Amino acid sequence: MANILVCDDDKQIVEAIDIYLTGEGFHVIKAYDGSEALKLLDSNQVDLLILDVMMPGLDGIRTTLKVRETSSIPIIILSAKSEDTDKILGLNIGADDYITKPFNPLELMARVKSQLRRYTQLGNLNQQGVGQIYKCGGLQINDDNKEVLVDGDPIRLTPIEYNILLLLVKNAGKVFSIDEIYEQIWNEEAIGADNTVAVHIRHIREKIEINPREPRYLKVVWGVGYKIEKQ
Amino acid sequence: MKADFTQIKKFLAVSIHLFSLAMVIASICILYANANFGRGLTWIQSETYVQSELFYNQLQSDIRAIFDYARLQDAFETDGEVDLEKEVLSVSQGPNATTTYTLQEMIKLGEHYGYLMQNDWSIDVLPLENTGAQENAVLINYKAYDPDPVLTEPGQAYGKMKDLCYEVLTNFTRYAYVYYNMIEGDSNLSFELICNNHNDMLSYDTITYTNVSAPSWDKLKHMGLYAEFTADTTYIDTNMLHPPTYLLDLAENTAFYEQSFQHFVISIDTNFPYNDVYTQESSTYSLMRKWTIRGMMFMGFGLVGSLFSFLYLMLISGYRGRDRSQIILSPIDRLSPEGCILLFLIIGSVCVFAGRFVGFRLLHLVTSASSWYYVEKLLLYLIAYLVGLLCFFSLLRRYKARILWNSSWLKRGSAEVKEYFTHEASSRSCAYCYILFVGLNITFACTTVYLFFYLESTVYQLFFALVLLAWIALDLACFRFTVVKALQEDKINQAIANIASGDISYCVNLDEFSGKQKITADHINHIGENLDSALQEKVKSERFKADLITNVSHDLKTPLTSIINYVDLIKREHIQDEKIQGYLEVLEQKSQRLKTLTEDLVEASKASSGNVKLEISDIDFVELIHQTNGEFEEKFSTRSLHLVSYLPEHPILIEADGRRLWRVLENLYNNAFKYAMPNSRVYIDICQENDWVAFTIKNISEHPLNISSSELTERFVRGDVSRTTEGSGLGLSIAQSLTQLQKGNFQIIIDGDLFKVQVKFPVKK
Repeated sequence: MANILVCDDDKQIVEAIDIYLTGEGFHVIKAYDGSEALKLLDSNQVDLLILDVMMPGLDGIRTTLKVRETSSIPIIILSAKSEDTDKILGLNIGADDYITKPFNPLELMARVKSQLRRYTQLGNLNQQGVGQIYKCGGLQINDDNKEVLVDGDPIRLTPIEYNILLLLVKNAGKVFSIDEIYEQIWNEEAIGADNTVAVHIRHIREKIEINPREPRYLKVVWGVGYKIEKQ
Repeated sequence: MKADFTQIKKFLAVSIHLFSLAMVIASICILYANANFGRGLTWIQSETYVQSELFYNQLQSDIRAIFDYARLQDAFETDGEVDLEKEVLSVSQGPNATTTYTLQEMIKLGEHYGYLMQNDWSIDVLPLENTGAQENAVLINYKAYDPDPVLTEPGQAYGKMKDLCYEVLTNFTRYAYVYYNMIEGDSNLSFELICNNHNDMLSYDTITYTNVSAPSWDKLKHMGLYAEFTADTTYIDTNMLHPPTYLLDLAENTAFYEQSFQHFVISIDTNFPYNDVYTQESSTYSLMRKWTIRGMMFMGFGLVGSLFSFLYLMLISGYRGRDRSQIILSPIDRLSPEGCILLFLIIGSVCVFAGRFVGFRLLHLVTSASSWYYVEKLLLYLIAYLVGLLCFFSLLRRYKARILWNSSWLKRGSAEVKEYFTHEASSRSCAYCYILFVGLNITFACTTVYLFFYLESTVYQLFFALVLLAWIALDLACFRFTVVKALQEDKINQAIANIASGDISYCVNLDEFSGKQKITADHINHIGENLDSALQEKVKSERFKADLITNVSHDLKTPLTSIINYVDLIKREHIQDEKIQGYLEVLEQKSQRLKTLTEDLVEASKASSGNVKLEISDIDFVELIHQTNGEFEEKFSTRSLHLVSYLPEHPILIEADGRRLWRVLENLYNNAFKYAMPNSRVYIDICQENDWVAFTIKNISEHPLNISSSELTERFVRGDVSRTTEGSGLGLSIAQSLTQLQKGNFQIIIDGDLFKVQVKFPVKK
């Protein structure tokens, strides 16, 4: 099973994560500051790194930078800093995910698995375009058999939800308003569009996102529309 | 006792001063009343009369009179007696109209013309009215007193009767003076004048004019002063201080008729045995000399005395006893200096007025009319001096007490003028200045124009033209001054407007201002600086607060993570005990609440301190509500809440930060979700009012709302006082802060159980 390095200066948190990950069948290596984590990285085969930001000595950000000099393993930052700027900074310097404390253990497990899947299984498939396959990060839609995979796991969607998602993925990065989506999917003019589209979108989000409140793929542009983040 | 002693000293000094003053006045009286007044002081050097210039003047006039007498004797005398019947003048008014006048007739005629002879043989001329008739000149046939006239010019042979009459009388009085005073009367002066009367070329008589019958000149010469002069010599034998050198001229000119000067001798008995002009003059002279010297001494003593007593009074004035630290002020010293001067002027005027009506009359009673002028003047000066003295000492005491300047109207006036120019309201000061300006201008213009035409001299006109030019220049300067002030005023207004509109760092350049405006400008700059610093201080403290809350929340989150995780781990142990299951439920619930609280706390503090970076973009408010409805529709249905929305079909664009606005709406929807009565409807509507778009959410509260709407937006206030439900109590506060940050309007209306929130934003045009 995969080796996961958990690094946090709070021993109890490390312990708790250890319990959860071990429960999921992972092998956990524990570190309590950045420099220790770096040493362990050198001496062990590590598949994923969970890293706290605020640590004595070498902090999470600098540790991430160091790791990225030599390795491309998935890094999940686990921090009490919940500001947008903190998240943007963390993701920009090379982290693959950013989870704020206090975290939901199940969400953490899901994200860990997601990152590992992408790193170990999906990485090689990226360039193979077989049939009508649309990809966006860990999201993969096969239009031939109407199959939707999130980090390799199949997702069950209703036909309307599928069409909406397909429209958005096909035009990744483009923002569609409720009316546009309605017109495209239902093929009729949107007269006094109601909450239908918004409700569908929420359903899709709940199905494809690990944390629907902080979506990775299907983003809401408030007051404008919806889009799939281009990745 | 000391005080008394000082008072005595003061009294003494005042007495001395007044006494000295009296002496000065007395001396002035003496000197003015002296017969020698106006002759300077050199005469005093001659101790006795015979040495004095006075004497020699008298002597010279007498000697000249004697020579005149010798010349005129024949004209007015018959056999050694004055002959009034003697013919003295013959004139012709025309052919065959010759009149001859006797001496008596001439005297009568003289009275007719107003020429009156006095006892001392001077002629008093009475001013007569002009008779109107132009008197014709008459031909002079003969003058007894000038038998051989030498006519050098035409017309000299004619004369007017009036002039001739005066001439006759003048000559007669010259003669009579010597005749009656020296020859008929007793005189201390003895003289002898010997002339030769040439009958023809070879023979002559000797004529002697004298007032001594049997002259023994050696004896007479020893009686006193003498002078002797003989023709053909230039030497005057005399013992006089000032030799009568004029004798030489007199002798040379004495060639009347056929006579020629031979010998002249004069002597004066300096014992003055006879009462004549010399005796009188001598006694007056010594008396006057004595009094003049006394007067001088009085004057000297008086001046010195008054000066020293004055200086002493100056020194001790205002002090009591030896204590020099305190100045005793009389009630009158409490007045301002100008008031004091004015008061004394009034007192002086009253005194002068009284002096004119009372003092003058009294003085007139005791003094002679000739000296009235002087004594009146003296009285006025005395009044002026005494009043001035009192005034001076009053001012002096003030000066010593150092209140002279401080209590003066001048100081107050200058202070007021200064105050006026620095603090007077602009409009009033402008009005006053303008009135003054116009008044002066009109006055000056009128005066100048009047003078320009009145004075015809080119020089004056040029002068006034120049003055007029200068005045115009001054006016222009005034105009410029006013304009400059107005400009400065405008700049100040501009600065105030800038600061009022929020540009608190706005500064004016002080160099562009002067006077009152400069002070104002300086104050404005300070307002700006102070506001700026206060604001920065506030921002700093808010940021500090927000940072503090953020840091605290970070520190809270770490232990909270452990709590949540370990609670979860315990739950996974699948403990069967019902009680422990219940406890775990509470732990999980509360730890989740703690999590929300810490997150909301940071957000609330940031939103209320404005420490949020907004990403403003164009947002369709209607679309946003649709999206939000979509997010919440199913959640609401879990509590059986029915969402009823009335939304316009067309998009309404506003400028806002979409994510933050979503946060506002999310909080409001969540609020409705938490507190709305189950099985009720939640109403959502958007309406556009002019430039504003208003979003309203209404629901019926499950619990009675017994708090005010304003309290609801305060932090940590929740509709249910028991606080058992989930939520941090920060939701509405955050929503309000975020709305206001985005320039929106947030309003909570509570009407019974109806809970209504309205969020308004300006519509983008």
